Amino acid sequence: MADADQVEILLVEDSSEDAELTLRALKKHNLANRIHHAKDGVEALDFLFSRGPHADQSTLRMLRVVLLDLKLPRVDGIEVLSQMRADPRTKLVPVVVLTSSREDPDISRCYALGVNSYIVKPVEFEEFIKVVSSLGLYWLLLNQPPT
Amino acid sequence: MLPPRASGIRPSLVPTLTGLHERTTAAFLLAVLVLVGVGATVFWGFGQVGAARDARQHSVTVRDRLTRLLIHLQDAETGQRGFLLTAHDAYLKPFETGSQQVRGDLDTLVRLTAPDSEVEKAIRALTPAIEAKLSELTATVNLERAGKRNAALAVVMTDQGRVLMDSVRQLVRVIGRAEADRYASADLAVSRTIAWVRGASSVGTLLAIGFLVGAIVILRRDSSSRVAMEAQLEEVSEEMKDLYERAPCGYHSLDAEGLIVRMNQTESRWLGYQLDEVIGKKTVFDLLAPEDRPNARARFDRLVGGEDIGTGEVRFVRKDGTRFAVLVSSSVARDARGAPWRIRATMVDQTEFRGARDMVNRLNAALQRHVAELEDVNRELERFSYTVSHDLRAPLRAITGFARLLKEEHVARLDAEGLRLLDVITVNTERMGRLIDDLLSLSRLSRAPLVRSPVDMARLVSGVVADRKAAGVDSGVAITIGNLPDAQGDPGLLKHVWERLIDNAVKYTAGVPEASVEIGSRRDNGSTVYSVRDNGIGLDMQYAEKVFEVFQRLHPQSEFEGTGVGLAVVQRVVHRHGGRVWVESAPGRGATFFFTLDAKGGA
Repeated sequence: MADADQVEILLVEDSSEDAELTLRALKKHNLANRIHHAKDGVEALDFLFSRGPHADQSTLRMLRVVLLDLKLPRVDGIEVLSQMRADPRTKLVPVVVLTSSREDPDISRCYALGVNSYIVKPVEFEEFIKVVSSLGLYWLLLNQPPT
Repeated sequence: MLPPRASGIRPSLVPTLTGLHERTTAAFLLAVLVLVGVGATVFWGFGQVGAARDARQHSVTVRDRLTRLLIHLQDAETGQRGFLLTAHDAYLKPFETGSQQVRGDLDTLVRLTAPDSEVEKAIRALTPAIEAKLSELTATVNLERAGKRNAALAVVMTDQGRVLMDSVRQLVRVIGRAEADRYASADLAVSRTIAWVRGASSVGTLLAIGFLVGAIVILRRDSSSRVAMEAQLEEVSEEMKDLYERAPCGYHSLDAEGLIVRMNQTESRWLGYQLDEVIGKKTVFDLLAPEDRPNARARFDRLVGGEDIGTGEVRFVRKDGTRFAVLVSSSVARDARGAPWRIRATMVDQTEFRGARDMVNRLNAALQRHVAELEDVNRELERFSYTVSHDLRAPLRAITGFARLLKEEHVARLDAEGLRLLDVITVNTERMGRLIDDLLSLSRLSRAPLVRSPVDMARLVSGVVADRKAAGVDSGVAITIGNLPDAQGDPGLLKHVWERLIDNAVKYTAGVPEASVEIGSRRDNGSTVYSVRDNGIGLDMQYAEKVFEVFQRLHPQSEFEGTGVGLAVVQRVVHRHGGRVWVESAPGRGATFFFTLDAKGGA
């Protein structure tokens, strides 16, 4: 896990298997150390708005993209998304929704809330690259010198 | 109060009767006029006859006087002659008397004749002639008296006396003839008048009789048509009364205070009252349920005040205390000054209607319960499919993902059999993923709102075919697109129909030499039947219905990949458009899938 003020990717995912597969896919490309993993909506909101364990941390300093699962315990992904879009600090942070299926009816709701793209789980690295490329984040994320 | 204008059949009879009256009266008046004319003619005739009689009398008198005048003049002359011959004074007497009488006659004649008439002129001419004659006589008498007989005879001998006498006679004849003419013309006038009066009175009497006969005929006809009309009126009124009394509606009439003045049998039967218990004894409000009275009174006042109150529902209380509801509509009859005179109401018994309405309400409630239950079931299904999509996928993802990790990171420690087993795992989990996706798709297409708009089918299909080609689905299959008319439907949903049908056709032509798929349409019974024909393996028609059922597959997975959902999606979407879908096929001879977007085609 990276320091909070170094985080470039926020992964919000409650399934540990999905999270592991995603992290492994990204780790292969030296991105895992810049990823913060939130296990539910509350953790995600605490991180995004520097609350609770993240008080006094400037978590948004390097944040490039949020990978957001929709089905989350406590506060669900749609709620996280709408709170992000309602706050000027997080309003412009790109959000990529992680979905179980292309047929997920929530996808259209997410687009309505201003989501930038979606990826069908499990997150294949190639698919992830395609999405971040389309969002113009590719070089920001990948041209970092390895640590 | 004045009754309102009579309604019903009476106005139509009035003009006919008026016509009869007018004609009868006219005939009578004409008869009277003619009789008055006859009377006047007779009266005038009497006048004429009287005048003629007077004229005749006058004429007789004048001629009588003339005759006497001549006689008296001859008397005077005879006396003169006697005196001249005898010189006897005895002859002087007739002479003097005659002379006097002649003068008297002359005066009388002048008096008798109207001034300025022909006769008067003749008499005025007669006067000097007579005076001349008398003075000749007097002169000779005076000569004789004076003893101058010769002188007197000389005068006589001059023949002057005879000449004078002749001229008098001549004048008297003229006057006499004139009077005779007048007499005759008066006579003629009398006979003419009598003839005229006789003719006029005969004609007039006949005419009057004619008019009277005419009047009698008209009256008789009038009375017979009146009898016929009365019979008709009676029949109509009998019919009206019957209709009024036995109508399936209640009727009653009220006075301006709401007192019942008339009620039909139907309503009194409903109420259980005898007519004489209510007519003139109860107001309509007395018969209503107490809680309905204030409202009914208010409506009554508004109605009387000229407002249109429409139809209302009230409850009546029967004599036995039970209640029934009616639908009532009322109208106001007003007198010539606009004051309310009668309030007429028509009532329809609501009992049966209410029963039916209650039934409808019960059925509706049951239906709503069913709908609610169905909605619950639907929501349950939706939740279920959501759960399927998310929760069934999570372990599937883990299996796929970790199998892949195993393959990638531990490949060195796996032999060929181990790798094959891993592939089996991967293929099956992927298949299950597709299955779940298809199920979700079916569920989503079933629920998605159907938005109809004009659809350019030709463009839609060529787009789908191009996508398939780009995805490499149709490798080696010749797809031809025929004429595809535009349709009304949801383009998004219809795209799925074409995709599934084309994919299906392509799939079952795999391995067939010169595989081909023909897409087209035909007109049938006024609607368009779209079709997708392939020359693939075909199917047994006894399974023709089964192909559209979810998870129903006619071929083993090993032969044809598939989830058994595609054609179910097609059927669902077509049915949602109100259309039909069916297949015609035989094993080994290809299959043709047809669909319509309305219920008419392809029956």
